[in-house]
Amino acid sequence: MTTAAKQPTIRTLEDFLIRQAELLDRRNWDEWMELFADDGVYWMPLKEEQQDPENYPSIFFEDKALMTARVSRLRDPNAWGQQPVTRTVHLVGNVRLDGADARDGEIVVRSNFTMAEFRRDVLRHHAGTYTHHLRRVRGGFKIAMQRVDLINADGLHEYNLQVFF
Amino acid sequence: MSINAGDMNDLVRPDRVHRSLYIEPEIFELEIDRIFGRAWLYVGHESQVPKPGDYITTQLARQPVIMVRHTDGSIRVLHNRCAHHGSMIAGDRCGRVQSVFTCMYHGWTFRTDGSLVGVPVPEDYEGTGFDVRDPRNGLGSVRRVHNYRGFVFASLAEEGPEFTAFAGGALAGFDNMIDRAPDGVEVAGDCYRVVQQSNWKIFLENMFDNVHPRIVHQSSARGAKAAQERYPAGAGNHLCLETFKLLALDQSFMQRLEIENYPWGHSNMTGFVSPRGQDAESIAYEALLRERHGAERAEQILSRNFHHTMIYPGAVLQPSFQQLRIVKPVAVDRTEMDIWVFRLKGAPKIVFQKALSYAIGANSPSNMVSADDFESYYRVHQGLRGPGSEWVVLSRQMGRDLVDNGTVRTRVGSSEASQRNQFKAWQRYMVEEGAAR
Repeated sequence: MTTAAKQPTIRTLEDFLIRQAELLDRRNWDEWMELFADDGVYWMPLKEEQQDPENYPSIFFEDKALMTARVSRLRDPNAWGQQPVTRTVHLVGNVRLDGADARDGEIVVRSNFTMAEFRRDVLRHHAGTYTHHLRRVRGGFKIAMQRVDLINADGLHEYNLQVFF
Repeated sequence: MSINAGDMNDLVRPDRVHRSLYIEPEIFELEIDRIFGRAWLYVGHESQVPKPGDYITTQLARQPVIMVRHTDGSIRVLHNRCAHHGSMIAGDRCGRVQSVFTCMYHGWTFRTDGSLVGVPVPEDYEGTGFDVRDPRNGLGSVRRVHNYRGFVFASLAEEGPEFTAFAGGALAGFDNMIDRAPDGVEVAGDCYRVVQQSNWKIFLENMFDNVHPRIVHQSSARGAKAAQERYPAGAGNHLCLETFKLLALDQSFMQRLEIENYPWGHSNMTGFVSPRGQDAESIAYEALLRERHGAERAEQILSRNFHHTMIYPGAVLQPSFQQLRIVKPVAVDRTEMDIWVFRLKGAPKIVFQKALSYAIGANSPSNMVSADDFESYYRVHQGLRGPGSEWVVLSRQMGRDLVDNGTVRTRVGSSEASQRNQFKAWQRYMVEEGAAR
């Protein structure tokens, strides 16, 4: 049982989340994937009320194997959908600790984000919430799950969401 | 550009079609009227409206419609348009009414069969010739509706072929998916909704193009290989990774696929990824199907593997992995698509897990395969805007397909028989029967 005194500060969590977003914006996916535990998953549900990724369709649901496939494609010289490449910039804020769902040893952190996405002369604006399930490890955290709820998840998507949010 | 039937007839030739078919807004408007306004289009599945008053909304040929379960248990397809001032009656994508639809503008009320219940201040209409008591002054019903084993199709045209005669050989794909379900099929959750910045026909042609995969999808195939090398154990759980790899095999792999093409532009194509498995759950599932259908019939069902079944111009089903893509053209260069995943009721979990993996891999808004397909559709559409090349060539294997009583069967997977068949139907809708209405 984690005591209140041992909870990380919001500032520590915020630094971690900002680092996560920055690695994505820099297309540094190798280090980004290192933030995840070996059994970590990246999940974007189709509906906000979705409780699990196994009974209904999701937009993303990736373990490290699928993340590797996506990252490899994004870097491939013949990934035609990345000519031109997708550029992104994230802004992460409203970080709050939500221990209510915490399983043993995991910290649940919620935050809000916006992400601007630019590709072939079109600038798009995305917004949503992050729910991070974090495990403490020496020197920081590992992501057990990064859940991304876009406010328009079940809306029309203009073209393929090629990169991670 | 002003188009007459003679011009349009000249735009479709046996081996090629003119670029204006993809880019001219005037032709697009005629397509909405003559093709989408006449064909049988998919509306929804009965599992979306289980109880009286349950409804969904969608669009047929851009017209808003409501599919609702009426009090007598039947499914009705109504125009989503108040008989008074034209306001849409239902504003959300799904919902439920207690007994009547009430227009949000002036409060006109309608039963779930569309008939008018009442209007506010009825005396205003006295002596005007408009009879508010006439139930025919209600929400119009879409002309023809057919519930095919739970899949509801509708045609906006008053006359035309019956649904089963229209769909013909393409029904085999729908039958196969439904027959795979021990206790029927149901929609699993909401649909994915995506937009293509390209003409609707480019997508439908691509469904049956077996030369593009190893060119367009080579990066996904290399990605799958990288994942399997780095995470050999984890990668085994993903049917989609195996699929990515198959996309980039030597052309001889795709040449083995067979495409059957039917009147009105429909096609079936054989699959290259098998949904069958040797695990305990899959074995139990096949035993269950044998119990339901008998051994011989069950084997017939399980051994047929369809990659795509298309009912032209609006529905592309992937029967083996229970995905249904609905094409909704909204402008000459903008095509919306709803993508539904179905659950086979009574089947073990592994069957739906494969459907979800396929959905994530090939149909979700984030999928890696369509990321490159959409790019090719966009580039085709942009390329065709220029006058440099007037024609799109569709002559692969022309003259070598097998023709049998209206059905055209390919000898090799790379044949563009489906594309030629789609434009034959296009010509029939647009030119031969174009002036019939």
